[in-house]
Amino acid sequence: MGGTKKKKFERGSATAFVSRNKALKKLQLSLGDFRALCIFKGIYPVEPLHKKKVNKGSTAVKTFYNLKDIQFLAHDNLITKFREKKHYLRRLKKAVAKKNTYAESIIRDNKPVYSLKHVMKERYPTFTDALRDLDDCLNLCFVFATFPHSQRIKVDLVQLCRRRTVEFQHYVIAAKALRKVFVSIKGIYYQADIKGETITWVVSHKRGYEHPQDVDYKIMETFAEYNSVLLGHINIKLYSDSHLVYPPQLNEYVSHDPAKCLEGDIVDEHLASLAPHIRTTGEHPDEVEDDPEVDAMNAVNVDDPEYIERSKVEAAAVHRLQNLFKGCKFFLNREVPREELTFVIRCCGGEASWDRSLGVGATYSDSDDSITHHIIDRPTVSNQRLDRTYIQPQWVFDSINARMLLPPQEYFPGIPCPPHLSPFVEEKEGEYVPEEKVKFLKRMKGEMEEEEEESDGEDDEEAEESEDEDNEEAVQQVGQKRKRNTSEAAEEPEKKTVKMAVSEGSIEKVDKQKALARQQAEERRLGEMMIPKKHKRLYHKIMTSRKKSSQETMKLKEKKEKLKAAQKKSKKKKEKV
Amino acid sequence: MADQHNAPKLSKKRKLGKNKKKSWCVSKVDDIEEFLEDERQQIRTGGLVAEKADDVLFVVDTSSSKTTADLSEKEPQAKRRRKDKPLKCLALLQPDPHSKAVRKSDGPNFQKGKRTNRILDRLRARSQSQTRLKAAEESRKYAESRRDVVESQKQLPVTAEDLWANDDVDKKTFSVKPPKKYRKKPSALPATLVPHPGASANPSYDDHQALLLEAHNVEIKKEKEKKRLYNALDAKFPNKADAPNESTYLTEMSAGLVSDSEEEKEEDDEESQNTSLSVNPPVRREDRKTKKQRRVEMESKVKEKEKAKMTDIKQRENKVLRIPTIKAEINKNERKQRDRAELKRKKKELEPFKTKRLNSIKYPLHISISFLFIIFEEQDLALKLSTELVGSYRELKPEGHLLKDIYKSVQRRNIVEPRVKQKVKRKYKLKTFEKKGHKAVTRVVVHVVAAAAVAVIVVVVAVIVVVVAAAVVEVVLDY
Repeated sequence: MGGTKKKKFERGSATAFVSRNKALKKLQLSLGDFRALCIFKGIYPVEPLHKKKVNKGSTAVKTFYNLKDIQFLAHDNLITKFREKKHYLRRLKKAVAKKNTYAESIIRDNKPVYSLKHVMKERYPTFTDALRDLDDCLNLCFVFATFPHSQRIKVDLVQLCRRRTVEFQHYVIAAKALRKVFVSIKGIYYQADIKGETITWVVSHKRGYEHPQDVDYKIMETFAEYNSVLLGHINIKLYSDSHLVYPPQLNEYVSHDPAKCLEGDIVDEHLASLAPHIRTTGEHPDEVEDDPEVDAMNAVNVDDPEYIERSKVEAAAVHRLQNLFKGCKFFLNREVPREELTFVIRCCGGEASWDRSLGVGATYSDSDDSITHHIIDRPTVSNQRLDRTYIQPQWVFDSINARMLLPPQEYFPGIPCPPHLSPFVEEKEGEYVPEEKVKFLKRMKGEMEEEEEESDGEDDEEAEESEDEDNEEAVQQVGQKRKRNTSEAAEEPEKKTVKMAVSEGSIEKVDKQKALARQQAEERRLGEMMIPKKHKRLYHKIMTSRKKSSQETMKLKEKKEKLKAAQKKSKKKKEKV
Repeated sequence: MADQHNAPKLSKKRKLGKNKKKSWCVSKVDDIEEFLEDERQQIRTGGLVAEKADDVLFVVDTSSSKTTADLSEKEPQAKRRRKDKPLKCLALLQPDPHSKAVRKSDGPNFQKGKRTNRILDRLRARSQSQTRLKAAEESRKYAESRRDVVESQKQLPVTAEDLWANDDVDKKTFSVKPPKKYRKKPSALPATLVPHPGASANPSYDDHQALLLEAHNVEIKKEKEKKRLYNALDAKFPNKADAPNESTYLTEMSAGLVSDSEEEKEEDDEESQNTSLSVNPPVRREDRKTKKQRRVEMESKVKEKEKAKMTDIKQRENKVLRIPTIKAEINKNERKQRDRAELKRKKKELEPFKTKRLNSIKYPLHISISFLFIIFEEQDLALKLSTELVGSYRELKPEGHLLKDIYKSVQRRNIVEPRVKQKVKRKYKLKTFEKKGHKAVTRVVVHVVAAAAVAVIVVVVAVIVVVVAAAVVEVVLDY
């Protein structure tokens, strides 16, 4: 029975974790170097389940690492590089202090450098692994690309980040991978579909910022360094996969304008303007993605007809988005965010230019007759031309989110735009859809069912207009308003042409979505019958909860209607008075 | 006379022993000779200048006097003076005439010129030696070869080639096998948190109100937490003024005691009498149990035991009838367990979204996962008030900074432990010195101040003297 007595803290979780200080001692690194190494290698601190056991009886909160992780770190060649760096700094400091310039120059020449290539390969064995980390990578690189040179942040790193982000944007443009845009008060959120992965990233607005003081810049710089390298590798792969020349090169020769940039920066500056097309390797990329049918067939669930149908609809929508601005020529006024708009316009197949005096990359001038849209962000327009539409920048973003060209009437300069809704919100079946969203959806359908909408939304329009015109005229006839509406329409050349045009009779279209919905409903009914008794209860539970939510929705809707009715009544009373 | 005055003197610096013959004679006679030569020249050209009268030598200049007089008539004297004076603003820019130039530190080669040619020649010859030349040539070659390497090293780590060119083929095992959970992300949270729709640059009314409500709730929660902390700390441990002292303690403790103090006293007396004696009465011979008594006790005990046994058996036999109750009990327990398991499962599902405690600094976090958006309440929600909303993108003022968001997100996702910026502390106090050359200005000021101080002291002393004198006079008068 005897045996040796087990000692405490010699096995189990007490030995599986090490505190940070212990790790430092084991690796013989300074804290700063250790942090950098952990960031590069992707080793994170952990929180053990039984802290008291791990901490040998003490309950003090410490930073712990897995012992295995530290042992793994100990094998990396980067450690020697970090140690070399330490020695380098020590020698350099001495030489500088002694004012020994000759020795200093020699030491500086022999500055140790490290490569992160093997780390990349180790952390991301496949390309999709790397793509999953792209969100972080893009966020940080886009932020660093906007930084000014300072003592803390090296100019090289900023420039590198800038170059990488420009490269990436050019890829997104070439691949037409952009799916959603959301202009928030923090920055502009983009969502792209890159090789089947959904990538979301933020870019800050082009404004002057006060840099935050409570951020550890050393850590962020390390992250930025790592991410810039990663983004570079990803860019190379993306470029080579879509038959583009890396590093990106201009298709045409551009002349040097000494007022805009240095001679050595011409290509970089032109690329950064995002306007020009970049050179391809000459091989024609496969046109697979353009055909929704084939795309659907490539999907995983080939057997599921519903899935195929759905993916077909989705693919068609994406195709529509990719060619949304095809044939449109935009001109950006000087107060409009140039880079952002150029990026989104070109992602949807459009072209953009600006005044030549504003910056490099302008391809056509204001006087070009082929311009279809003029983006403007000021209340009044001078010298308005009849052959183009003047719109506010929000129209571009909303159109992309709607995946169709929205009617521009509501986005004319000087008019308060309709709300910019978040494309990241998707209501599920039976949930409450906010009123604004309903309006937005109606607007989306606006082109197709204009008449219907007018008859539907007559009351709303009346209410809105009466709000606007309250001050001007107290009492107005509805008929008068109609007349004014038509006169307004006459001023707009485009609308007029649409009304005057003789349209060809078309075959009655089968609404694919409606048919799909009908089919789905039937299938569901059949499926319900087939549910085994075992799961029936659970199913009913889910259904009741759904019903409940829909009931709540109904309640909200009723409330809204009541509120509206009350408002209308009060307004009418006022008018009467 | 003139000779005596003008005769060259021996310089004072010359120090020679007077007992040496060398010092007897004037060694330098150049000056004297020059002087004599000059005199001779004057005599030759028209007599000694020194002997001539003033009106022979000087002529009154009458040519320009008129113009100056005119000028002075035209401009008043004050104006002229003003004109000559430099502007005050410019005068302030002029360096202080009292201060001396700061002495520059000696460069590394400040004694270079002092080396004699002899030494320089020797050095030159040594540098021309064959070995030296060879070494110089070699170092030049090396520097050339290094240049490319150095250029490449100056840049940050850059990408060079496609890493994943042959994804499928290259299943290379690394020299060191990474740990099992190496590629597992420390948190399930997304890197880019999609903002609330109310944070749009041009939000819809409902969304914006929802965001405001969200922010409002956060504030309320914060207030609640503040209140809780106050109740737990400040209210419990008040400061000295509010803390109960002896008098308040007495009044508090004696509250309600004054009216029925007499009864209490009596009770207390009784109790004290009781407690002073032993509880058990003394054991006497008569109190001992008889044999019979013991036997009867024993028998009754056995009987009771048997009875218990019987009832137990009976109960067990009847348990069959209790089956439904037992079943219900079991079901109840099971349901309880299931519920608890469900709760645990739900908790576990949220686990990957949680921020772990990785440091002594606690990352303040209360996640509330609302329907679509994971809202982190630790950060102030970025929002615009209704009055701050603007119509166009041009006028939009952004909120917050993305770098801070990223930093927070990295901490939230357990990638980096939270940190507090450490303040740099100086080990010793810095001493300040004044350069000698710059002292002059401040010294003047100090003198002035000192003088003023002395004056004040003098006045004070005088007053004291007067007062004392008066007192003395009074004393004298008393006597």
